[in-house]
Amino acid sequence: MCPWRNPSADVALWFPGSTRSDTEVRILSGVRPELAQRLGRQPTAGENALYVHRIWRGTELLGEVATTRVKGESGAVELAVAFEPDGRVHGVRVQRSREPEPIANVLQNSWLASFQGKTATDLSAGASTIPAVPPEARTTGTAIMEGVRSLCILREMATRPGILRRPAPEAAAHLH
Amino acid sequence: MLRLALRNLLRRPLRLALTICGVALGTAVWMTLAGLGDGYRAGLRTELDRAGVQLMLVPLGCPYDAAARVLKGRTLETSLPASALDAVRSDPAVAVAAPMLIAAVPRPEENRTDLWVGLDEASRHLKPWWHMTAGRDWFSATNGAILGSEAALIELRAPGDALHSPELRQTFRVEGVLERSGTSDDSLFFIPLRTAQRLFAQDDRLTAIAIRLKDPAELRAVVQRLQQIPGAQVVTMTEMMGTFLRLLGTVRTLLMALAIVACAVGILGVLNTLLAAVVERTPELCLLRAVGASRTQMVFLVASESLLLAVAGTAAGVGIAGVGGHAIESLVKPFLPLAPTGTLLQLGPDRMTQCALAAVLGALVAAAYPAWCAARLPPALAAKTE
Repeated sequence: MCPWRNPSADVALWFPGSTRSDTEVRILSGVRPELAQRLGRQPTAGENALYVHRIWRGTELLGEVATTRVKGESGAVELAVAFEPDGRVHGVRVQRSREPEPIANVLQNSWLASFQGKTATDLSAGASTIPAVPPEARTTGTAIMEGVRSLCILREMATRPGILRRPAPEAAAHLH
Repeated sequence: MLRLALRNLLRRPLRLALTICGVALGTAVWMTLAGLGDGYRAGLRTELDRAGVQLMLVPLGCPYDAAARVLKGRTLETSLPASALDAVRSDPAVAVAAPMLIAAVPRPEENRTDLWVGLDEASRHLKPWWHMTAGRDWFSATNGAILGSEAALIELRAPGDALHSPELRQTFRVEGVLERSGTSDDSLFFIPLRTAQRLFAQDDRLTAIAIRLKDPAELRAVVQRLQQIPGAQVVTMTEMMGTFLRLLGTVRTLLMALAIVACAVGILGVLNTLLAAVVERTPELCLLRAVGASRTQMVFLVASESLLLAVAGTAAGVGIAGVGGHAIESLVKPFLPLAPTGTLLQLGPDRMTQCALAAVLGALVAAAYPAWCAARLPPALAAKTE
């Protein structure tokens, strides 16, 4: 489970004008077979539930934010991904990473901006939709791409009718 | 006699229930506090035994704070010179002297601090629980790193993976991942001592030296010799445990006083119930005397009632302690110094036996006066009341 490190800054950046937010837990354990098929691998234990932070302006849903942790070349990379209400990626931010400076520089905001507007289908189409990165950054770049794609799929599945939704406990809401 | 005693008690169900509740409350408070104390002492001893050391050489300052910090993998403000290690190793009574350097690298954006621990080969002899889930059990290269289980989980690392520290500008190769130990080691990054000294610009400096003796009986003499090392002081694990237990002991005395008051209230409740029962049943008891019951039998009757009350109350109290004790433990544990991992509450057979004996004793004390009153009732009173 990956915490959302800096919610206030992220919300200000991605959803200026928002007035409030809440956090929902969406239980995905009931759709594991389909999830496995779409992800192309067995879902991890953490993927049985998705913590979705919903951002509102009054009663209008501006978007959602979810987080994930992926295996980078030199350590874990934590991502915060913002979604439009229709499920397209609105923004991606690396919350933390241990990558050496040259690799971290490659995977900066300019490269992360290429995820904007993408859907799970776009990202499943392969690297062609996202600019290539130098070979030394490829492992981490691929991990980030796979992480965003997985989140897109999870989020898509989580919006289906019949998926169990629960408000997150107050303490957990800040952690996920 | 027991059946008669039971029937007498059941005549007033509400009074019976309230009396049992009083006894149960006293027993539960006593059992919980005693069980927590036992568990803390046993847990602390286990943790210190697992540390595998009898002494620790730390820089001058508060020795207990220093030793506690080192055991918990936290840094110290000051350090020891490497010459202290030579002095310790040259002592003929020292079997193992394991130097360590602990350094903290704050990561404010993550609200956490990476703790890097530099170890040398000697540390392996002091950590019998040093087992790997995967990979090698010691460093094969200067840039090798062994991760605690939690650290590996958070960093998604496995043996063979790289682990970079942007703050230190150093990439390590993960050589092994430790099994979960339930101690602070789980979240630490272990690296070779020389590497740690170089990276943290602490050449020839150490945070502490953990020491095991060839013969623990020589402890006092060794302490006196090692105290002579300039800038260093010695802390024995026994002293350290004693200090923590003394701290706990003060609090425990206060809490046990509360428990004694609760037990006294329980005993007085039984006494009150029995006395009321004797007064209420005076005609019956006189009749019993008139038809041949001896004074001793009267005493046995009242004592049996008291014992039944005590047994029921104690059984309920032990049950309450077993169920509610863990909730109390979770409230108390964060405030305990060097709180051992795992469950503290120990309701072992020794404590149960002790509690049962105390209950019998309390019951007899509570029954003494009502039994005396019952035994002194004149048989002739039966004819008068008829």
